Amino acid sequence: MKINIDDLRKLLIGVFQKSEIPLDITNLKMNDFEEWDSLGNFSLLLAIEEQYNIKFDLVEMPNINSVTSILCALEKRA
Amino acid sequence: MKKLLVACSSYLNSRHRAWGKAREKYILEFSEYGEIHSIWSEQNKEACAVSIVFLDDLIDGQSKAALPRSISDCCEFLIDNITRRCEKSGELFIFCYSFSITFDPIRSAKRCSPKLKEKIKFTEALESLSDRYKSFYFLDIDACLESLGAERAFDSRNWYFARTRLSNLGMDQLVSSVLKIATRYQHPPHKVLVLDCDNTLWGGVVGEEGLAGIQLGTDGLGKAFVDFQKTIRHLKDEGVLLALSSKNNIEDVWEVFDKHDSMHLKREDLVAAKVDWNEKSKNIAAISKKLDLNVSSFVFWDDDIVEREKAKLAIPEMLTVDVPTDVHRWPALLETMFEFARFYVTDEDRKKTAQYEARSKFIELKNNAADEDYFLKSISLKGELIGLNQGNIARAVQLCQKTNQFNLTSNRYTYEQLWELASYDVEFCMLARLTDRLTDHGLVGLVCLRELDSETLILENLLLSCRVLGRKFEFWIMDKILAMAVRRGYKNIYGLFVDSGKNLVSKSYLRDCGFVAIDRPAESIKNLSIKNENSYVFMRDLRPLESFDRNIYEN
Repeated sequence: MKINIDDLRKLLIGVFQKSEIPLDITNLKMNDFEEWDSLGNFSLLLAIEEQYNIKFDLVEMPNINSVTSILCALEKRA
Repeated sequence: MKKLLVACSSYLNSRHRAWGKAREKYILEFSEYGEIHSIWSEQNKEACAVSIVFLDDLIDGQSKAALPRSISDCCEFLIDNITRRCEKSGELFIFCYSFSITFDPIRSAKRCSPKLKEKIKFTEALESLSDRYKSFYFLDIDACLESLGAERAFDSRNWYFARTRLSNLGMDQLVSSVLKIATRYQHPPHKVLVLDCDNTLWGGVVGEEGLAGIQLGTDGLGKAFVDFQKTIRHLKDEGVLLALSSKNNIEDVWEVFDKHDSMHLKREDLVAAKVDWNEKSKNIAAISKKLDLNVSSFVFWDDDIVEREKAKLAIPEMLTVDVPTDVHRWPALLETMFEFARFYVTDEDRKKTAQYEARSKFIELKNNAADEDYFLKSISLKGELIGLNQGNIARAVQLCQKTNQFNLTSNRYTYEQLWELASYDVEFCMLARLTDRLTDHGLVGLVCLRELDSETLILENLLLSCRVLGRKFEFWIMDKILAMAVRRGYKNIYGLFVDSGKNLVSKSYLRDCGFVAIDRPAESIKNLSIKNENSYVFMRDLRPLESFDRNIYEN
């Protein structure tokens, strides 16, 4: 699954409503700002699942905590 | 804003979107992971509370609360602590619980699962607690999520990854259900359902197809309309008032009502019918005037989208239902409509339609009578003051919640507060009942008194349902209060009035009863009156009322 990084940015804005999301999110990762803590990361993963109608599995989830790893995990899916 | 404390036996996503709506009404506070005991701790007794308990968390020892092991231990532990909270706090408390019973056809084919047996027992215990404590409510999480299905509502992956049991969807559904309870706790349901006729109560247009041509009966679509009418009647029996607003020839409509075998609604179920070719908004305004009820408590149901859009524009305060085109979905939709849902149905609710009918008749008669007192004497008014008891306290609490117009202080007494007044002295908290030739109005008023000292009584509140105004009943009540005060040896009575912005009707009441405003009330009085800029203190001695003809009422 190929996804548009701008769409992902919109999703970040939706989940982290109190934070300023930079224009370039390529290198963004968990703990870069307060709202993206482990709890924030969990909410983000659930939001991505809903948006793209997919389901992450328990094994990969702990490693999906940055924009790079999100894109990577999505690309793995058909 | 009030504080709403939320505690869960495992992890609860406090950043979930569904909480957004709750934040508009409450200051939300989330307890730490698993700390359900925060709900019954002393320091949180002033806060409203929601606790969300998954029994498995307690059995597993996931929760930090004491660690009982067996299911029945857990249930006992919960009931004890819920009781503790209710004993010390009269604030809203919503207890949500899940037994997450897995179904196995083999294991449950010969035996009822022990968990299910415990659940039934537990739910009964909750029900009896909710009878005892009026601000206590319970929510069965499993039943609440049933329409989603356990597969979608729960998420075992989330459980192992984040120690949270529900999926995003499950959270949406649970939180919105909790908020519905919290909202109904504060706001009464809507009062009137306004219905169209053609293609709403029956299929087809009676003016064109005739009595025999309309769809209403035992087959297909006709059956759906019958079921819809049954649901409407059911709501009527729960106290919702029914009215028609329809563009038809009235003779055609009454012909269906009177002659069609499958017609479940009867003419006498309606409190008003405006069947003509006028604009519906105009007719609905007339119904609102006739019933003396604000359109904000109206719900409008019409299959025609044009009529609906017109109504929305003309009367935005009214709820116009976006009716789906599939009639077969209507019965369930109407039955589960939040606007008409009530916690329980009182005897008063069941008599609503008859009472409003009598009221319209009363207004009509009164408008035609030349002399008011003479007219009132002709309708055999009879009043009665009844001390608070187990059987009528639910009605007293309901009156406190619902009465806005004739309500001197608008103090929303809780069940516990009323009991306290009544247990001090039976004559200090009394319900007023009114009957006349036209109807039994039921329990329509509440008097709350308190003793200041051996010579002085304080009228802490007096409220009267606005549908009985115009009968001088408020003066009859005051007459009885004064007589009681004299009999008990008091010398004076204070009266409180708090301007709520909605109770203009009752503003001049104390003055009309001969009370005099006090500019600088003594501290002891000020402490009692609600600390509010808009509160006023009045006083009078116990001489009988001057401007009230006692003979209006029968003895």
